[in-house]
Amino acid sequence: MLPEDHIPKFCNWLFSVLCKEELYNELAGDLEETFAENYQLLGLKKARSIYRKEVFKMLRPSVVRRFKLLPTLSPIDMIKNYLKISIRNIWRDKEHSFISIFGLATGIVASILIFQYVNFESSYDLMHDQSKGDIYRLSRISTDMTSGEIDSKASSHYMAIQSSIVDDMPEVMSATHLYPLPGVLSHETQGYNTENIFFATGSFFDIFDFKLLQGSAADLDQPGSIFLSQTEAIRIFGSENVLNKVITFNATDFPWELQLQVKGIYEDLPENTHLPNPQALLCAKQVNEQMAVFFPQMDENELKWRLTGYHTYIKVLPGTIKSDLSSKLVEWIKTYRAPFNKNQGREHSIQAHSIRDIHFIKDYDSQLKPAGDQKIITLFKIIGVLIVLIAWTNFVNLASAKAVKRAKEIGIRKSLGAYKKQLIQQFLLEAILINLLALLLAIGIVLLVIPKFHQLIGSEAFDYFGSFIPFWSTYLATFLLGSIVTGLYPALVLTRFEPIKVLRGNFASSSQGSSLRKSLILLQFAIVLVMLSGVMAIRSQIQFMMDADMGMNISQTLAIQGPPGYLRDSTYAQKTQAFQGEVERNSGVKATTLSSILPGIRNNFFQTTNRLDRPSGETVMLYRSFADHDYVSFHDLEIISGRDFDESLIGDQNVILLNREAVERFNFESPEDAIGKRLDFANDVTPLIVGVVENFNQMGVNFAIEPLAIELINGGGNFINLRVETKNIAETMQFLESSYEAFFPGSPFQASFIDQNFNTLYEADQRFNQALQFFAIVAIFISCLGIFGLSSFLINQKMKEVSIRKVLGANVLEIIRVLTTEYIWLVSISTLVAVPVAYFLINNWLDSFLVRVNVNILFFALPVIGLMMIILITIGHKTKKAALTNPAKTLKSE
Amino acid sequence: MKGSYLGEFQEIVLLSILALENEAYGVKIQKEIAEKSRRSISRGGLHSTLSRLEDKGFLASKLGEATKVRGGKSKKLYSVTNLGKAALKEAEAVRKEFHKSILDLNWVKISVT
Repeated sequence: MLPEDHIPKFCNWLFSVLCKEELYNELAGDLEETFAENYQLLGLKKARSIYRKEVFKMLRPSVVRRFKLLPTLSPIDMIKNYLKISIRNIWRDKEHSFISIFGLATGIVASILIFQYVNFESSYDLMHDQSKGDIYRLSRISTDMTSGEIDSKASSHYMAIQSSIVDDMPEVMSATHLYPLPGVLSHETQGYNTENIFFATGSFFDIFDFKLLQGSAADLDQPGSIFLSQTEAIRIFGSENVLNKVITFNATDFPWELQLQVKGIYEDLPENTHLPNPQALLCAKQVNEQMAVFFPQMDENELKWRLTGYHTYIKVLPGTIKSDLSSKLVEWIKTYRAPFNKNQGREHSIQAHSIRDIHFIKDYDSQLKPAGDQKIITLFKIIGVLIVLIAWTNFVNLASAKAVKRAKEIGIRKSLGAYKKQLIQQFLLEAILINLLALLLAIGIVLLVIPKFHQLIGSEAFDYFGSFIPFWSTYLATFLLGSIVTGLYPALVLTRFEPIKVLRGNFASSSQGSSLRKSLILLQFAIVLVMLSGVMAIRSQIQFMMDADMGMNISQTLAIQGPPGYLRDSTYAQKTQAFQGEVERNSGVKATTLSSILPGIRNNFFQTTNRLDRPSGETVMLYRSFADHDYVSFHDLEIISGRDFDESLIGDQNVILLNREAVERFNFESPEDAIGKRLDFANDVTPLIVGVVENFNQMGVNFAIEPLAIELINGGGNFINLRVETKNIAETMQFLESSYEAFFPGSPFQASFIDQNFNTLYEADQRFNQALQFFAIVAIFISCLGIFGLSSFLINQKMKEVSIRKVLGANVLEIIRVLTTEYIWLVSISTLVAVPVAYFLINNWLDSFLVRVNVNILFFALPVIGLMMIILITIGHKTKKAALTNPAKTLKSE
Repeated sequence: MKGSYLGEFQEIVLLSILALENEAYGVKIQKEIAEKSRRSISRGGLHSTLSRLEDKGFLASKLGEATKVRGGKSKKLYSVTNLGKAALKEAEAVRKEFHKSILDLNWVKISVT
């Protein structure tokens, strides 16, 4: 890829629009040349950031093109005069102009950020050309045949689907499947941890529009070949020309090694697809063979139609109707699955999801990327519109309140023969001018805050350029239309003045349009209150989920990831136990335990299981986990019947603990009833149930509790859990790292505190809250700007009233009361409007959580009190000044 | 005369163009200034100064070649006019005069103590 392809497209486009034509070649050329050089010297990120700054600094009068306003009218001299007057007016009343422009600009900035985010989120998987056939993902739905309830939904499907569907169904043109498996890629002696490796088929490049740069897609179907992404090729080899070089693959989770040859290089996947960018693609046939090794008791057909985890996609003939396809798929899979379904008492069926919908599909297990939230996107759209509305409301309020000041000008214009139409034109022009200045300022601010914004939302939304021009030209058109409408109102108010009244000098119009003004302010306050209540509610829900009692002790728990599968040998179990013994001797470590699962991370090991004593009875989707003797006491799990694993019993092998949920699902009469019974794990594994533990929230309170079996291991396990002293934690960590490296040479030391898993679990909610908080602050800020401008205006008008009251004996407090009562009323009424709306929205949002907080009166009370205080502070300064003025000063001018 | 006044930054720009001889266009000037005076300037800032100097008649410009790295956009090559060179000389002379007077003062001070 050439350096110029990396130039920030938005900036580049902006510059081409804003720059004077005669300067464009010189300046843009220089910028591009500098960019290319910086790209070589400093790297992409730095070069882009310099480029953005450079463009921002180009926004100066000598560079920016002179846009002609209203080109159809521009030759008329009158327009020139209007413009001149407008500019003078803007310049003369700086406070007022600043508040108008800055308020508008803030609103526009917020809305640009929101809409680009929305645009980006809606752009997922639009890059695939579906004119030659729609693309569907086939998801698996499992239904309990007796109760008819859906008991699991997953985004992946059986191994067999991909090859069988193309043979059986004529409308399916091609199919591919992906099996994700993390591993280590090594070249010569250097190994690279690689999280995203997919085992795929050559049709991958046929179905998705991802670019294969070198090699032929068919090679991906040859065992022994590996395709690398550009970035990965450069990470491993330092170059993209690496065809036919040799790489070794080792699976992370179990011992499995493959010798591979690079057969293709593909472009990195963009961010706006539901697939995480795969660093490498390998031939799916190899993983299929490996799976067969794991399950020797199953014949090929059974394995193919029972082993899941393959993310399967199909491309169908154009014109295929989705509902027809869906019903056909459901019938089709029955022909293969029927015998297995009957055995398990479960029907596993197919659901087709159009690829463009996938990003917003939630609640499916094993999704490759966290799903987006359609609700949040809609909510953000509404917020984006509301914030601009607030800003325009300010503008209308200020402009119409200011009308009085312009009354004389209008009177004179009218008596000199100006038509009403001309006056409207003039004020409209002024309104548009202010809006455009605000827009320009806003674009500048947006350019500056883009990096911060990317950090906030966790994705590079502004680097997405897909539907840029249609999207933003619509935005711009809507914006201009809005500014004309908002400009029209003050223009109409102003031109209604009767010249005789105005020029005679006894003109008072503080009541002009005041009811509209009041209702607009009311609206602003209500919006702000709803947003603030929302922030409060989300905060307390997140706090609630993080603090909730999960039934297990995870405080100060550090989890060390055990060595990758290929480094584990027959001595591994002994080594982990020796390692445990070593670290427990350190004073910083209080207890240790081994486990295969971690709180806060999904357990993906489950299987359909029966009781040994009732082979054709209840079939339960049982989650399996492995732990050592100390697991129960380490996490303070409560044994409700039977016993814990017992280290002193030598024969304590092949025993398991169940949780209460599992006991209930297997229909044991009581927890006591389960003790001494056996389960059937197939392959002649029939463990004895020795104890039942109370349910605990392995995944956090917001997830349903699954039936779980804990099996005893002696040494080994994926994770070494340690309860550590928080004192001297740095020292302890150092000690752990060095002893880990001594015990497991060549294996990277990876340790993290368990509560961090939960932080990531709630990350999306937290991001949402941060964003909402930010936009609430923006809304408050804009409203305050408006109230500040308006109040200083109204107080000026009321000066005479204030003075007369003072002369008649009112004291300062009474004056302040007179001037602020109106706002207190406004807040009270807007509370009445906001609370029901907020209550409805909050309740609705909280309902999406399994465990939720109750709606609290504080959610509404605190925002009201906060808003009231902010308003009083905002108008306080001017009010105090008015109340303290010597009445003689204002009254003498009469 | 206001027109012939040279700001300090303008002087640096003129000097760097002279130093670059036939190769003086935006990027090169920007880099030359960054290297010699150790301050980073934006291309936008440089543009203001260049156009001001051109308006004053201190600079002349012509279109140069268009290279691939510039996306096929042509360079604008600047050269200092005679008027510009005269202004530079004058600025230098004014400066020297000042330096001289400061030296004198210092010398006087020293001799007093």
